[in-house]
Amino acid sequence: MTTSTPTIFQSTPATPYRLTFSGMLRSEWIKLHSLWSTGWLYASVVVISLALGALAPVVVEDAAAASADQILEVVASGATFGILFSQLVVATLGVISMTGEYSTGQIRSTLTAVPTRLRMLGAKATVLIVSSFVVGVLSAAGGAAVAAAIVGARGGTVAFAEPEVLASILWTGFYLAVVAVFSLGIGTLVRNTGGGIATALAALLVLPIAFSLAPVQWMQEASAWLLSNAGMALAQGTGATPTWQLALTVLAWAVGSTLIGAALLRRRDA
Amino acid sequence: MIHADTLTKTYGMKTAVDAVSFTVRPGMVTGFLGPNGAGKSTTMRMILGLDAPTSGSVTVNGRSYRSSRSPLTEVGALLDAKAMHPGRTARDHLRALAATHGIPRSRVDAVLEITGLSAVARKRVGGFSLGMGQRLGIAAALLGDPGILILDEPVNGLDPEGVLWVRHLTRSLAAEGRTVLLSSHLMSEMAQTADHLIVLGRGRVIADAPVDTIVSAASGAVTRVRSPRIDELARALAAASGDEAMLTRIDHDTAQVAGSTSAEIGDLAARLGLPLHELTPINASLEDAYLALTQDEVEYRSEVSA
Repeated sequence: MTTSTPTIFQSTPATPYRLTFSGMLRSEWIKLHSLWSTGWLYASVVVISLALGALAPVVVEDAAAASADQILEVVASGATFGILFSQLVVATLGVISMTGEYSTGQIRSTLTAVPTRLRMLGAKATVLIVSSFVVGVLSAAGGAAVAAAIVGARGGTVAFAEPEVLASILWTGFYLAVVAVFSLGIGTLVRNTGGGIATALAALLVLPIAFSLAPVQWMQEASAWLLSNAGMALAQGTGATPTWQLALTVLAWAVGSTLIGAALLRRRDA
Repeated sequence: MIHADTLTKTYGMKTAVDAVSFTVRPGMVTGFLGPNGAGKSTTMRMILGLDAPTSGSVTVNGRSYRSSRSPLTEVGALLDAKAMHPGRTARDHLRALAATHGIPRSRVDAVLEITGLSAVARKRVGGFSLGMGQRLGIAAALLGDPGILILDEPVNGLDPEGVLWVRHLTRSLAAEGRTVLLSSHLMSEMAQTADHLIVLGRGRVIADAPVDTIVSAASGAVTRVRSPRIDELARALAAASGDEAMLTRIDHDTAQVAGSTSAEIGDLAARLGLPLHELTPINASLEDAYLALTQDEVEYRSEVSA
């Protein structure tokens, strides 16, 4: 048997407006694209990816004589060359999408509208994942297309819509989306733009160098599991490690930073 | 309705809010008054769940703000004029907040209109003056047409016309039955806007009463009396009211009397046939009341060098 308990404090007269996750997604999307910096940063990803894609065919001396496998490899690397640069841009975007809220005071407006902080973080992450994936795929496809066009112009038999190339394009988008979320987690736990970008870039650039130079056996072996090394191998389809292990490795980095960031976001005063 | 129950916030060794309890009721403007550092902003941030209380609790309509299903329609808040990203336009700032609750663009345009920002809606917030920032903050607070408004120092940086506008706005929102909590360190502003005052000093509630009560408690109904036969009147007053009447001689024929109303003094004088040349009730201003209440509670007192 159920009894209905009368509400003692009726909230404000019934309004049609409710806080919803889809609303939070729209809000975060508006916040992301209403800043000029977002457009510039994503545009730079595309432009640099196209430029770096043009460098890929350099390794082929005689395109007309190149084997189909060789050309395939060149076109696929046209898709992934851009990662070297675009991961840094996407990392910066991921960090500032949170630290920008703290440095400007916007966070108080945001959390007043969305007091459920973890859902706010989830909405931010979702928007970053989708936009970074889309930009990543477009820029990788552009880089591959440029590489293919150059090989074609030099007399090679062009292969573009091959599984290897498509896989490189999609994994590039996947990896950039992961880097964005990883960096969002860093930004959430550091809450400071300078410190956040420095931390994220250190994880992407400095750790691989430090691990490869370390005179310790295990560090050199572990370097394959670093975020940027695993991501690069994933996108390029190279190395001995199975794809699913690489994918799980990069995901683990993003999940790790996000969980730490989320735990702190929940506890700390805004 | 906002209800705080022994709300406490400490930062390390420092207690910003010290076991504060109060209720903010609908249909009136409640003023949150206190010197800088008294804990007004911290308390407001705890109401909105931005800061977690060290102990105690605060509820909005009987629940914690964080558990609200529709926060923006329940509470509209202006915490400071800088709680916004300078790179966004005023309209985009409001659109982003409105989107979370599915509030339509027409409402965004409406609050821009109400706050007089329509002309600069597409300008970036970074170029706004403090006054325009305050207006945008108020626009954001009004977005959800909320039943409760929390405004922290809303007249800061506003020109006289803006101050007047905020006064009318808050009064009319309260008249519509809404709960309005307004903080200020300006007594003159509170005197003209608030119905009820919660006075904070060093993190504690030192007064929680209607504005009139606070003023009259401080003024203690002082009356200035002038009479050529002031000595006889003074003796008669002392006899009539025991020790309650406090009489302070100001001049050879003038005194200030506390503890008796001007009507009582006038009646007594008439009965005894004593001529009165002046009988003036003196009301203390809210300023006096506030200074009397907070003189021991000011955290940052300016020292006058000898």
